[in-house]
Amino acid sequence: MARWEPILDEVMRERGSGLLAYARLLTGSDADAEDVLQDALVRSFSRGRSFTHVNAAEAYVRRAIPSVFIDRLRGRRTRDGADERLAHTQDGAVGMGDRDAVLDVRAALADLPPRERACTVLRYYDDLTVPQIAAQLGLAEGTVKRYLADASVRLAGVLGDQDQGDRVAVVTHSSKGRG
Amino acid sequence: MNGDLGNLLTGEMGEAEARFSHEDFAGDYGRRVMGRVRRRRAVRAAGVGGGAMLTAGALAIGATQVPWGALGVAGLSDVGGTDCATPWPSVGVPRYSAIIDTDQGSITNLSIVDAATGTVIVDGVRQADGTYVFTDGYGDSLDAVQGSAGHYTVALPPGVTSLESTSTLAFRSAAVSTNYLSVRPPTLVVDDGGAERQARGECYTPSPMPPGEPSLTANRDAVVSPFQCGFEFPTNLQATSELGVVARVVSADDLRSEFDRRFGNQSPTTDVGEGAAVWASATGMPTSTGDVIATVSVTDPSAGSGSITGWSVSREPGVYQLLPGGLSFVGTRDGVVVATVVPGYDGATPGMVLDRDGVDADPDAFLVDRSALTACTSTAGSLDSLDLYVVAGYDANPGLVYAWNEVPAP
Repeated sequence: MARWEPILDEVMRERGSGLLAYARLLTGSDADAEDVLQDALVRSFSRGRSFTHVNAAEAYVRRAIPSVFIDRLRGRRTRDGADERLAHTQDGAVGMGDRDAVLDVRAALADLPPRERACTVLRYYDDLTVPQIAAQLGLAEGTVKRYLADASVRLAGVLGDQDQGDRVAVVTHSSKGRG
Repeated sequence: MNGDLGNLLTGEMGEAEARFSHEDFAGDYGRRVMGRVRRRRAVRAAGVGGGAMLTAGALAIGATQVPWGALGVAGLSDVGGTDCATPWPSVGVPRYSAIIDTDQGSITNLSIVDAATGTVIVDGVRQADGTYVFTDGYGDSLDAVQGSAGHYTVALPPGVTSLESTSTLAFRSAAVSTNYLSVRPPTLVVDDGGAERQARGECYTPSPMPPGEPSLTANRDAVVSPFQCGFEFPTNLQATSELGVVARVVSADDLRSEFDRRFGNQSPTTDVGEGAAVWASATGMPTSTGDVIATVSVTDPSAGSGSITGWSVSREPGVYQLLPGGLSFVGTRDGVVVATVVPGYDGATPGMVLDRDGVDADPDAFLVDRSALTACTSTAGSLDSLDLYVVAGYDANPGLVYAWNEVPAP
């Protein structure tokens, strides 16, 4: 057995659920998350890299997931363009619609266009800076800023005043726990 | 749920992870992922990093470049050994097997791959008791019988047999390699129910040109593929809605940067000189979907009436799909192909790199050095003086689709 195979096997067996969950955050779909994770694993292990520990491999795969996700979007840009336009047109309805749905962050994220969702996850979950997000996703910094701004507006619209009108405090990981 | 988006996402992560913890990702997809990685790594080893494969002690035999096409057919009887002189019989439903010598002492594992695509055909692993277990690229066991001399006769996966339905020369185009220098090349056996034929070692030695250096002029009318010696380009550019190819000259620094971005410290070649290189991309080539990966090789997708130059495995174990595709460079003089890229003994193409920058990305070809080209005849002249074309093609089933583009002068 090649040296990389036990590491890959360990990543899939021991870290698979966490990586799938991360992919799920980005994709908003269990099925898409499984596809993205498979592609990320293949991409990470196919280029002759030598991972000496499962932690390093997991970190590499996790970093590959957003790239794979964006690449898949690019590959389907025509359809996704339609999807994003549809998401934009539906946005207002969501923001003013079913209040039960806004209690579920999954639904709120799912309503975001894919690229806005990816930027949001990288910014507010992975705590990356705008330049880091731009580099990881292969986008211009200005584009990332626009996606984040648009996403913030949408999320604030659907999540912001669930507690008697309180605003969503959009903070990063590093800010959590500060009160 | 509170208003902290980061915490909300963390909670969402935790919930999703708990949910996924009840699923068996490794069990559901592990074998598929392993197979895809094996094939991609093999492709890089055989088609890109040929030097690395050799330095690792590889010994390979292959026939991907035996010119079965218009120029090569006439020379078939002169290629290889006795049994190789005649194409495999096309009657019956042949079963392929490989006779593999394992009496070399220190061999811990070996593999047989299709060097054109990297598809693993057979994996053999030595067990603690000294015997070997053979599996296909998915890890499924293959029937193997150990002979008294220590060799094994391994029945190749049924999917390999299915190649015969479309080609009587399937294995001639499926180069075979072993990854240990000490392993003698396996003997390939085909049994069509009547005669059993064996071919070994030198029978599969690539033969870039049949003896006699046939006249390009005399055969020009018969050459229909831009991959082949003697093809005359009617135009500088051919592209269709199905397939196109572009090429640009890049500096050595740009090439190094690109290789660094793609491969990091695993660059497929360290031979980037100071001169300009060519970066070509094909658009419309069948892209990677599922387990169909890296079907693009430098070989001609036509390659004669029956040869298969690229194939890979579908998502279903044992079911093989044919997706031959080629992307390569040719050297021309007066618009006629006089030099082509001919992989070496192990399928490697020193001086040229093929890669997809992502699972679904279009294939790219980098001509790092003109030494990647092999002159069709001794009268082709200096490689440096030739014009270059990038050529691409694939089997659109039915029919072959070709595109080409003249490489701009540096």
